[in-house]
Amino acid sequence: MLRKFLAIVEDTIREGLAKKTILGMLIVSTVTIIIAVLLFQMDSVQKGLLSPAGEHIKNGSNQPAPGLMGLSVLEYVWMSISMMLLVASIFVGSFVTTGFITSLMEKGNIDLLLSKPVPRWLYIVGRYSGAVLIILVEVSYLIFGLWLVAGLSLHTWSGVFLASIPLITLSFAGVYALVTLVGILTRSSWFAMIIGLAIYVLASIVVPIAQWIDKLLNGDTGGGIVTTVAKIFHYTIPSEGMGGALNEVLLSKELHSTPLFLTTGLAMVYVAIACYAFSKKEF
Amino acid sequence: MEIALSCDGLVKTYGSGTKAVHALQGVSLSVSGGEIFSLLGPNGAGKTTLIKCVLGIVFTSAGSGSVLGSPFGSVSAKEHIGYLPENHRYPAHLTGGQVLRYFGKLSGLEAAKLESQITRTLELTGMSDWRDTKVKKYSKGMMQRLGLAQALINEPQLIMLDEPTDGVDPVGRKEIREVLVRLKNEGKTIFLNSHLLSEVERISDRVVIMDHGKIVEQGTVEALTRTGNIYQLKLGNVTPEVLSALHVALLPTADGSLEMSFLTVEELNAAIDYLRGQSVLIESIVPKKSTLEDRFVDLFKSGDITHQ
Repeated sequence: MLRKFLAIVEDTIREGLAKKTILGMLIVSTVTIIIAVLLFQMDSVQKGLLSPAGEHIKNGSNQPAPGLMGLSVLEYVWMSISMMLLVASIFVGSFVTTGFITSLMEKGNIDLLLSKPVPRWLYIVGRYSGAVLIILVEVSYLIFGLWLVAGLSLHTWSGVFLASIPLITLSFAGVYALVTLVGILTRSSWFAMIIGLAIYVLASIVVPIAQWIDKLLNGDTGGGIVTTVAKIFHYTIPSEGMGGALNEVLLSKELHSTPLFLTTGLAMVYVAIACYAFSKKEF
Repeated sequence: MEIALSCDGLVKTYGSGTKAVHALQGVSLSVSGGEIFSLLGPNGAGKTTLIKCVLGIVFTSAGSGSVLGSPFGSVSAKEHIGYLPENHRYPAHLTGGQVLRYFGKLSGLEAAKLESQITRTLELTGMSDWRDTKVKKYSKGMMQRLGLAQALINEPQLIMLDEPTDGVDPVGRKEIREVLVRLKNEGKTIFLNSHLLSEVERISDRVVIMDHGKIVEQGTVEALTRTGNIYQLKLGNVTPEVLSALHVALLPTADGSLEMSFLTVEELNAAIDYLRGQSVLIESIVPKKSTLEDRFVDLFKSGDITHQ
């Protein structure tokens, strides 16, 4: 079984490498690292990055933002890069990898695969794992590269930046589980990506909107029925709260495990549902 | 001989209500181990659906079936089945060798065995020289050969081939036929689905003809192509009076012969005796041979197919 699983993962990675978009992502990461090398050689940049963030970054009252107290500009930059990478990995990553699920079900391919002595669920788990592995490598390459350049240039080794690698990958894995399920149900890459990401974005903003509606309806922002339903929806979509968890780790060096466990659990549930749906499909 | 594949009252309906498509309507058949069994029928007859049911690609609506002693679609049975689907497609970025390695791994072959099987099946299908060429550069015929190699990678007991010679040139078709016969001689069971009736006729032991999801005819090739006591006689200096005195059904043919139907061989001999007695010169007597294609066309042209 393990050998078959690894064969599917390997095939997914081969398919990924054959797609120029994944190679493009690696090139963009390399260019980013090269730019960082050049920037970090400059004295003014080095001094600026090592100075306290509060000197440079102010809030609306021209005061240092409370969250930045005790942080260097470099740590603030790490946080910004991590948050951008989290968003990019979810959206660009989904765009690049959605095809792995739907190509599995293409005519001429699926008959052949289903004729092999492989349980159907293994194809989904293998393809899903292959996609997550690709994003893990992409994110690791960029983050580790930047971290190495900064460490060698500035002689400061902030290991907490590296913690963003598993967190960003987990965020992608959560959303990709949802995209995988939609992909199985619709058999369309575009539908999978658009519907999956739309659900994720909607779940991110639905609670404040629901609270506003509740306030309009009965002046209550906390416990109205609309808000309750919205919260249930919000907490059943994977990766919600992962941005906050990443912020916490980078700013206060504390890891809140709830979003991690919730995302991991929900991703497993969504992949399990996708496997079940795939096992019942006829081709 | 043990049964490799059997089904009883197999029904498969796609959709429901007024949009329902009855792809299989109570199909019952059995395939013995070590034979070449062919499935024939016009497009939409249900041939591919039957294969898909066997492999669990679609699920049966009713009826039962077993393949290599396990229920249809079971993973354990598929370990011993090789399948070449119609219009198969391989990832364009892979080479022929990589395709076989991938499907060999999915078939559960161990590393050492896998490499020797890749070499063996590529040799068998005449594709050794193309092992390291990407499949996007393959012609249709080469894709078919690679498909056959893929179907044989796990040394299957049962080989199911859907149009295996589609797009293959005549020389290649002959080579594929020879491969199939060699596999049969090794004791493999071959389940063939093909439109090329002349090929089916040459290598098949038994044939099933399907139409609209039902079996309309089945038997050995010999039984299906048997024409009875019909002979083509080429006669010299024969008069219409002599012929009318024979009291047999006559049909002139394109080459100037006369096709005569007799109830028995004794009747044929009596006719010969009579003709010789009338000093008619008999240039040749050839028993009429029908082909599977004739039988197939007759069956579907006559419009009076009797469903089993």
